[in-house]
Amino acid sequence: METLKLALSLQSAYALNSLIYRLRRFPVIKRFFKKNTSYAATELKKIWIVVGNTYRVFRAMLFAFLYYAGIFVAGLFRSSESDGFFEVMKASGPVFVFLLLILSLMGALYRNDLVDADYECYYAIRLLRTDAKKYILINYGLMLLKKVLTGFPFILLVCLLTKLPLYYILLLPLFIPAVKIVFAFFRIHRFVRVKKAEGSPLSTFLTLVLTAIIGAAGVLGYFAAERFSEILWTFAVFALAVIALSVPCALYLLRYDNYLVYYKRYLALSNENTNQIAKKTIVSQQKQIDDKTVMKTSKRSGFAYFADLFDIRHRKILGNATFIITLIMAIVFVAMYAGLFIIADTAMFERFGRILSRALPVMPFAFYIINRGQQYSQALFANCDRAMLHYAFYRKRSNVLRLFALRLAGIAKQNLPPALTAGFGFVMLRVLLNVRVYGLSGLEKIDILELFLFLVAPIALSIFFSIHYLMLYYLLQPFDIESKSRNFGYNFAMGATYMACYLSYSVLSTMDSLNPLVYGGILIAFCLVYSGIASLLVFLLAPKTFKNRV
Amino acid sequence: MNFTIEHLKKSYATKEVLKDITFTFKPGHIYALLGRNGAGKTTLFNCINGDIDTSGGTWYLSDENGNKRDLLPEDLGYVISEPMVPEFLTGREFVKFYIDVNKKHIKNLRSIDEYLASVAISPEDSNRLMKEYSHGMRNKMQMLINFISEPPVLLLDEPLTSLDVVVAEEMKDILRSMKGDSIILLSTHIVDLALDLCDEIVLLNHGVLTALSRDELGTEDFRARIIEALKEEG
Repeated sequence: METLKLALSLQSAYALNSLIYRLRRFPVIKRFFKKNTSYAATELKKIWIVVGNTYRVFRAMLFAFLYYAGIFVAGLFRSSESDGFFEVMKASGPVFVFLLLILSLMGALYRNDLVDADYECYYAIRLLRTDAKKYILINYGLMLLKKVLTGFPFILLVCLLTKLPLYYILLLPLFIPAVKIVFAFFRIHRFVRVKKAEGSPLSTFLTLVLTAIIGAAGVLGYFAAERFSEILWTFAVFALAVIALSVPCALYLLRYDNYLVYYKRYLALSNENTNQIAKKTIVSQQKQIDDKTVMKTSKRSGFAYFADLFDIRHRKILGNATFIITLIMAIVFVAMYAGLFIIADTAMFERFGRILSRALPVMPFAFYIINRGQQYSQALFANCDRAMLHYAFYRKRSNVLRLFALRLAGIAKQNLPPALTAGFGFVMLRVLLNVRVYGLSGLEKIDILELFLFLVAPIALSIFFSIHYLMLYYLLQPFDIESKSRNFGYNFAMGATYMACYLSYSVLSTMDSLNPLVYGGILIAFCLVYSGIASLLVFLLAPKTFKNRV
Repeated sequence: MNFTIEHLKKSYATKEVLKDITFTFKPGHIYALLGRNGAGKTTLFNCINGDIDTSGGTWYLSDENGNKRDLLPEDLGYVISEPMVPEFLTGREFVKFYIDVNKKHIKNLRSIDEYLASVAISPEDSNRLMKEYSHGMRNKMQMLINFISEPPVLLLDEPLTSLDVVVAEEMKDILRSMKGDSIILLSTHIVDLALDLCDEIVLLNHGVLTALSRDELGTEDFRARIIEALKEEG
């Protein structure tokens, strides 16, 4: 009970102080905070505890809403061919169940650890000397409980709206923690056997491959979703089996005693004074520098040489990632082209053609996910500008602008191959689909404007995302010495970008009244105008704003 | 060129860290900026380097005829206590990049190898990525880059504090050899280092700078006076 109270107090204190820290950065609100006393325990703080905890609940519910709404919309999108509102709703239910099971499996496999190497954990176990087993289990239990409680209302709502069998109201919220417990059991069990808390490169790779296979099964299943209502019962059996399996796994986790050793291995902390937590982000960014490229160089000079070497040494997060994304996209397109000639269901192709014509509003969200702008900015700061901004010559107006232009060209070059692949891939898909459905006369039915938009929209989006993140980085330079963003404006802009792309996907893509061609035209115009304004702002402001936050 | 600071102020909310910094530094001297932890030494350097905004004051360079001009980015070097170098470059690449960009400001241009040898970075080490460098090697690279164009003003923030004894002695020699016509302003809270390396001692106490008479430099009494003066703040 004491440990539970400590865990809750730590979470509450950490969240509250983070909120005060953020609010103190608001232009007007910060005046109401006294510099050094706002964190102290005062009468006012009791009110703040209520505010802080309300904010935590709100944030958790908001994330849960976005998550479940996203899955629900994906189900609606897939079922939009059904006749009538209620039929669409009903048909989307099994797709929702399927996607939720797949995503829960992927999440539990890829990101599921009993120990979260954050400050709260560090304070509790290292500094306050709390019983590691109790703390870790209670914290893990609270995390699972949070998932159940935040997910339940949305699952209930979807089940009622889509007329899913009522047992799913219980099965789905229980499945999510159960699948996490099962995978946590495997992780601890492996640790007992090989004494390794973090995976070797091989096991990390295998985890990635397995996650990708489940993801691929999800994508395939999503497109073959017509028959889901007939096999809905199998999802229930699977969920029930996982829930049953989680019981002995949970008992094993409760009986295991060596959590302190596990925690130490996980953090690789060797002595009391090492503040690994604070340096974790920097170290992880340094790892992105590829040692094997030390012999590769650039023939250019000055800042061009500098920018080239940065790109060469960061090929892991830039070139390699771009190559993989482009390759996966190309494989998906080729598989779809092959499918057009292997499958002989013309009616399905017609449906697919109608879905394809509504693909433009989905593009911003897709490009939001695959673009490398944010990772690029973070690496720029952690491995380059954090050091170089201390040198006065580096901050000269002409040098700041020169390097910005070089970097923009660099990141645009990284974002372009996936954009071109998507553009040409969609154009080819539309042409082949028309030929497959209507024969050669289908070529005459092709809307040239639609082809143009399919080709140009991905390129415009790739330019938009390239300049968007780089501009925000140069104008707000949000990162502190630990490479964490403390800037309200930057975090707000990041959230707004996500929401805009998400809304385009979740709302606009399902609106019948929206003309996809008009949307595509507006999208391209917006990207180009935005890029122009962003360049102008950087030219005017960046030499003053681009500096270290001391 | 003299370097003059006039009425520099810096406050954080209600706390006045730098009250009224007014001082003229002369070329060819190493100045020790002595102050206790939290006295504002790093804040003063960050203000001059433009990392933070000041609450008032000016600083400039002036020649023997009294002609003043603003301190430009190429006039200033700043070596911070935690050595900062771009870790994705090798030592050699960093020097090449710096020379490429600043060629017109470098008075006595030498080869990259000569520069690296001047701070005892071996050819083998010069071709390794700086992310693999030790703390001392990074410190030397940072010092070298700041010295290549021999800026009129060089700020060194606790440069020797975390170095082992061998590297610290190497760095002292490098500093003495690089002094030339530059003004080197070295902040430290180690009195022995100030007495050993510096030509002048300046105390940062209660947010103002005070020069101690050079005539008494090195005497036991002088050492005691420094400590007494610094104690006053506590």
